[in-house]
Order: sequence, then C-alpha cells, then structure tokens
Amino acid sequence: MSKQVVENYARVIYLYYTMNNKVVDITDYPDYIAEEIDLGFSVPFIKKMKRDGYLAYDEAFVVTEKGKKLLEESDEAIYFFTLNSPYIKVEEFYETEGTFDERAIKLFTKKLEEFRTKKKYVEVESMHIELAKLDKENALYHYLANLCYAISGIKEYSFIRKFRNKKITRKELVEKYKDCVYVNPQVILGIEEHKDEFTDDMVDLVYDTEKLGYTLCSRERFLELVREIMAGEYNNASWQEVITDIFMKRMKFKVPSEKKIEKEDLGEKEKEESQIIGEDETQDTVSDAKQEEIAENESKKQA
Amino acid sequence: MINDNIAIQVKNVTKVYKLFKKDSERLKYKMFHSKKVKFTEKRALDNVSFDIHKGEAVALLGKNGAGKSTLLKMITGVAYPTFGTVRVNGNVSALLELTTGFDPEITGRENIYLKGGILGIDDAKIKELEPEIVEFAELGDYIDQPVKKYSSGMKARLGFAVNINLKPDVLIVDEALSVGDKVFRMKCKDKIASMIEKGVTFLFVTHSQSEAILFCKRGIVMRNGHMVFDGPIKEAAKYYQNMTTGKPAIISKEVTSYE
Repeated sequence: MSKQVVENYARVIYLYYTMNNKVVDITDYPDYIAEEIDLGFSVPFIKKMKRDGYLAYDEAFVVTEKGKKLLEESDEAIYFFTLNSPYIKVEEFYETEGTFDERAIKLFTKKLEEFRTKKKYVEVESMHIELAKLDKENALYHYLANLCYAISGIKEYSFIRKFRNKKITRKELVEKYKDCVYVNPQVILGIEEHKDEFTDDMVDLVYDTEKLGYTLCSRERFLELVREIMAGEYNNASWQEVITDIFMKRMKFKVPSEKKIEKEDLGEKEKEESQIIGEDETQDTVSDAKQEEIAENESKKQA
Repeated sequence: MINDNIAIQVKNVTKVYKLFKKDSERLKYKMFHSKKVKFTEKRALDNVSFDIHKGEAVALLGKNGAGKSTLLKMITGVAYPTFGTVRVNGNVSALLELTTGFDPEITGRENIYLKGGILGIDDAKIKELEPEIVEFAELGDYIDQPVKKYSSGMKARLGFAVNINLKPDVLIVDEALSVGDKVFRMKCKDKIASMIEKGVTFLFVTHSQSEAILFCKRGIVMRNGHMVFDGPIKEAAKYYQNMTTGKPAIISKEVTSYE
C-alpha cells in the first residue's frame, strides 16, 4: 500500500480524534493512534499537519476547514478506525470491495478461516463475535458457534498433550479443565436476543460446520445449554462442573464427588461422541480399553 | 458503524505477564532473550472486550486477582496490553493510589499544582480550581504545611480532592471511597453522584456491592482475567455474590439507586 495512502489515513484519524476530544497539548494525543498506524513518535507528524493547514491552535488544537473537508471525504478511514479490530490491517480494508460492512464481513470471514486452519481458537471465537455484530442475518449462527468453542475445552487441549508427554502433572492438567468454561456475556445476550430464530437443527449446522477436533460437549448437551441460555437460566458454575466431570471421566480420572453431578451420566450416544478425534499432528485414536467398553455396551444393547 | 458516543473502548485485550523465579533470570531474559531462561506466563486479562458509553456509570466487580486493576492500568495508560487495544475519549481522572505522587518536601497547596500538572492541567486552570480543592480536602492550616507532615489519611484526602475536582470527562475510582471519616466519605459520595448526574463517565472498581448499586446502572464481573458478566447492576451484584459465596445474593432493601 502506498505511503501516501497510509499517511492520509493517519491524518484522518488524528483529525477525527481532534474533532471529538479537547487536545490542549500535542502530547495529549493518545499513543494508541500512533500505534494504530505504526507511526512511532507522532509529534513531527502532527506538527506537519499544522503546517499543512489541517490543524490550527487556539487554546487547544482545532480542525480547520481544510481538515473538516478531508474528514467529510474520508468515511472509509473513519469507519475502519471505529471498527477497531486488531486482526485486520487498514491496507486489507482499502483493498477489499463492497460497502463498508460487506468489506468488514469478508475480511473477518477470511480471518475466521485462517484461524480455524491454524487452530487459534481464541481468535476463532473473537471472529464469530465480530461477524455476529455485522452479519445480522447470521448473527445467531455466529453466537452459537462461539458458544460451541467456549464450552468444548478445545482451547486447553494442548495441556492434554503436555500431560501425555509428561511435561505437566495430572493435577496441573485437571486445574486447567476445572476452569475452562468462560462464555462471553455478549454471546449470552446475543443468543437470548435471537432466540426466536433458533431451531434444533442449528446445533447440527454448527457442529458440522465448525468440525471441532475435540469437544467435551455433545450435541445433545449443547442443545440443553442453548435452551437454558434462551430461558435466561444459564449458570456458568454449574456448566463448569458438568464439563469438568465429563473431562475427568474421559481421562478416567476419579470424579471428585458424585453429588456434584446434577446432569445425567454420559448416555450411550455421548460415549460414542466422546471419542477423541485429536489434532492433525497427534491423531488420538480410541484406546483399546475404550473400544472394549463400547463393544460391550453395543452387545448389551443388542441383547 | 461509526459511534462517537463511546468513552472507553476495550477490544480483544489480553495482558500476559512473564513470571520469573529470580530477578536475575528476568534481567537475563530482557537483555538477551535467552531461551534457557524459564518462566511461567500469567494471563492477567484474556481477550476482554467491552464499550462504555459517555455518561455511563459502570461498576467493575471481581475478586482479588480477577484482572480489575490490570484493566484500570490499561485504561489510565499506566500499562499497555500485550494484545488488543484500549481507547479512551476525553480526559481521565483516576482515584487510585491516592497517597502516592506527592512531593513530601512541598506543601499540600503546592502539591495541588504538582498533581494537576502531572494530570495535564495548566496552572491557570488549577488556580481557578484551587479554592474548591482546598475546601474539599478539609485539611485546615495543614494545606500550607509540607506533605511529609501528613498522615496517610490526610494524603488520601488531598489526593481525592485534587482528582475529583479537576472536571474530568471520565472518572475512575478504585476502592477509594473509604477515605477519611464518615462525613468526608459522605461528601465524596455526594460529589461523585453529582458528577455522574452531570454526565461524567464513571468506572468504579469495588468489592462493595451496595456502593456499586448506589452509583452505577451497569456492572461488569471479572474472573481470572475473563469478563463473565455484563449487565444491569443488581444482576451483576447477584452474579458476583453467587460467584464468591455460592449463595444467592441478598440485596438490602435500603440500597437503591442514588437517584
């Protein structure tokens, strides 16, 4: 991207800030603006803007008529600045076509794919929230997708590998999973707001699209979770206990206390779904013991 | 999607601290980025995002270590995120660590100018505000004595008086309402309430649910660096209560909005 375009963007956001804040001293301009544009030390740039006639000083910095005209012609830059996503560069935004919202949606969707491929699940969750705000038609899908990652325990999966490689103790691993369920309040609110759009088959849509390599939450349980959220009854502590217990059972660790299990025990369907699919580089297969257990259950069912 | 009405915007903020076993290892790492130096990472904040609009009064609740103070440091510019951005529109006055930032050798009155200068207020403006600040601090003749003669309570009162009377756009209070005697505390609360009424954006970190409900309409609850609740203040207080005690919250009938 040309230096001139970047400088123009920088000029616009300094003017935008000046229009909306009282700037008495040149050092009153916040650092985040300079960081936004990799400007480094911003004072020379602001002084140049004054020399070029975009800013004037009268007890405080003011935007001149020339500066106001530039702002009027720079909706694109202002939109991008107020979008304020650390995941998208201004160059990418300028080079994408469509309305401003369409461009943002395209870029966040592209980033979502990248993060999914790279297994960066915190970022995947963030992209779903960004898309939920912009893509009203598919907002509920994105909130549900965020939720399925949040409840899955997939972000902590790397600790399971560390445990298997004897780099952390069992206690350290269990501590991670005792505190792995954090559902963004925006997601709770979003699901409640869009509950009239929900149908049960959206669960399959989310699971089939997101294709999590590891999850502690079966589709049935996820449906139960979504219904609780829509009823305004979501309880994070309660779901943390459920997920911890499922994790402990899957790892064949001793469950702390039977009385804490308020939800029903793992059903047959969940036992099948709880097979660890794993990540590409460490393809976990179902253990021999687990296979025997499943085979035994199958034969009991048939009997 | 242009919103000029946002006073504080926290977007995808993560703060990671590296914890070393010894200072010498920290130094080695900082100077040489040695891969042999072992450290653990502590996520003080983990992908936190929220907006506070101009004129909103928001309480930030959470146990010690939840990330509240780290978040405040980002908002006041004392620290920077490892990832993400924090944007603040307007001048900020923060009531935190009230007893620090004074020059002990100069008088309380002179320290008003020193603190005001640090906060970016010019001397002429401070001169206008000085009578109000001096009266508010209730230090009597001590205002013209060196600060080294002050008790910690007196320093806190002076610090409070300076910060609260600087006519900020954003007022941040971090557990600072227990300063002084009961009458002074009431005066501080009245002052804060009147500032909120005049449209100052207010961010209040507190363990006191009743004070949170008194001043704020919205509550954000933090736990282990994550934001776990964001909504009406009474619901936030109940959520926090459940989180800390496991028991349902009992909100006193006497506690209502300050309005």
